[in-house]
Amino acid sequence: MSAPPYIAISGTGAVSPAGWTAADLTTATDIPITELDIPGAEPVLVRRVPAPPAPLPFARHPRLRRASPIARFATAAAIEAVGTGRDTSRLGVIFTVMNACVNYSHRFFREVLEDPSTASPILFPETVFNAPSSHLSAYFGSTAPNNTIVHDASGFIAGLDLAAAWLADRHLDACLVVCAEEIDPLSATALRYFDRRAIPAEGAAAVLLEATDTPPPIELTEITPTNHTSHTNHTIPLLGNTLGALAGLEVIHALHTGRTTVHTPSLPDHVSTVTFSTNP
Amino acid sequence: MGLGWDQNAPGFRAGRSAISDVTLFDTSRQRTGRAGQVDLPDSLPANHLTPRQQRRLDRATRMLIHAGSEALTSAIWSDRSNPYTPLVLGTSAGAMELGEAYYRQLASATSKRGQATRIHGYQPQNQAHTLTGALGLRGPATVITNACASGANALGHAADLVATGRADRALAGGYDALCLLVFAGFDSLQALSPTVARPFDEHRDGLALGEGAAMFTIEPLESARARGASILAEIAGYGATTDVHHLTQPHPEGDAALASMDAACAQAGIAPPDIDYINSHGTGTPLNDVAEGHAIRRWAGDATPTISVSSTKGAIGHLLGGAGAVESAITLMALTGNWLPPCIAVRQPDPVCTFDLVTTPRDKPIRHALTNSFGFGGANATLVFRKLD
Repeated sequence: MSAPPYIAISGTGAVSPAGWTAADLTTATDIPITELDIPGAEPVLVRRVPAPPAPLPFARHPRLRRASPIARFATAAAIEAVGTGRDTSRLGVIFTVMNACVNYSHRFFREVLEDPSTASPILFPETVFNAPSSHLSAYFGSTAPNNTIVHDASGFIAGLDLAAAWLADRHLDACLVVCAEEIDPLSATALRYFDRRAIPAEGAAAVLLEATDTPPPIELTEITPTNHTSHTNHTIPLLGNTLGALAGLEVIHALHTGRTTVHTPSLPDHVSTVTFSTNP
Repeated sequence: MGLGWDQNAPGFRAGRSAISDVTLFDTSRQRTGRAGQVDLPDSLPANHLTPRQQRRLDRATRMLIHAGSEALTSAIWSDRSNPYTPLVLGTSAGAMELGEAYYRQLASATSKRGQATRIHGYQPQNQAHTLTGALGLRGPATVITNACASGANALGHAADLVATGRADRALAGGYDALCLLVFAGFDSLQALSPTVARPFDEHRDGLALGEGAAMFTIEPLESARARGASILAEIAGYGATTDVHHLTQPHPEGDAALASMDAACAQAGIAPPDIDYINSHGTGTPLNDVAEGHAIRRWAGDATPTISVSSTKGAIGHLLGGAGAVESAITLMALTGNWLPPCIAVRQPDPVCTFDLVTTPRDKPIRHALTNSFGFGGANATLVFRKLD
């Protein structure tokens, strides 16, 4: 049996209220807060992803023309992570979410309650948890395995763990790990039940992992469960609470600012600490 | 079809239908008002939840607890305090019932009573946590939401965890409960049969939805034998691929399905003629059945006429995220009992059925069985089970 490969971090991408790149995430300092109107209730303060600085390259892609914000955020982050000139026909995808396609679910269920016989068939397919990850595989033309995992805010770390396992077992040579969330009145209102001071936010993070037989420049070295009760979160003060995208944006922030460990709160026994190392 | 192995197996063996009128929500504005609705009792098996926690349970979690309890009881796992018993679940809608209730109250009332509980319970990862608590287990939970392939993906992932030594054992399964949003969703796509769901029938006109849950205990063969466990089968192969043809429609020639079946058989070290029975995805929609039929023909080649195939979705409906798991259970019932569940309600097989379509109950020795699950988003999963000597 051959030695297990090294797990290389070959690319990163992020979309957040700071902007549409990972660099935006690490250079932003003061991100505006806006009000999200909630019918029949007081507005919720949120931080939203700004309009893209240029037309998105995938805007006319058949699978993404009508896609929800979560799918657009995820695709932009994934494209940044994958880069150009790479064969993506066998690119695995692991997509972690917490609320997922809440915009379309909200719109569709509103129509269902009004009159289910006229609810739009265009909306329903985009409500399923794995619609955004499916669009990613279609965009990259990859028939490799694609898993969508619903998790708490530490989900991205669980996604890294699964991707590392797939690579270590040599099922694939490369795997994209993505997390994403979108703001919606339903979820913004829901968050308020648990933390009235939280500022809901949205965005996506993506990391490209590859299996290599030699030590890579940046290596994923360890993923562990932890029962630490204390941690330092660098992105919440900057962005707000990005729910299922939290761990991913924290990982991107860490990778671009030289930190080598990221820990997020999670349910007991779940992986929530990831460690990287740099090799000469 | 019922609660537990002893109620389900006879029903599938006899080719009974469990499709009935939906009573959980109003279907008067839909093309059909029938589905595979479970007759779920109010009581639960003995569990570790408090009475208050049990009162707050949604329908899907209640089904999970029934299935999980049966799995642990039949496996005789005595050491439930094992600190590392990963749980892997597949679902497509989680506790959508609670999400719908949250939305209705938010939209119509000023009271916030119960909303925090609904928000917490709605999330699939919390459903998983509730299940492990109810069963007295500890360990990480993974919830895979690959639409209609979720249950099969969950079993495959759990098998990988055990086979690679990352876990000493695992509990895995899939579930989904009927809910208005999903029912209306499939109706909006005109995917629901307005008559009777007839998978692989030449004049099929759509699917029936269903609900249910199935759970499995998975452990290394050596440990099961050492305990004297009653082993149902070996998970011999697992294949997973992605169909990028369309968000909801399969590739017409079944490219991804073919690859998924090839991968599962390759891992099992067998060839198509070794498969004695296929429990197909077979939804009863015009597009799925023909794509799967082409995939089976391309996969089996000259052996196609000898491959026995049926879909059990005509009997219980399409359980979505629970389908891969429940149909795996049905496949294991057939494998252990050496019988083939029929594809009920078929009047005239579709010409794509160049395989042996089982339309009436039949006995047959089975050593290898295969089950397919294909979902929205192009998630394709195949499992191969092997009877042990």
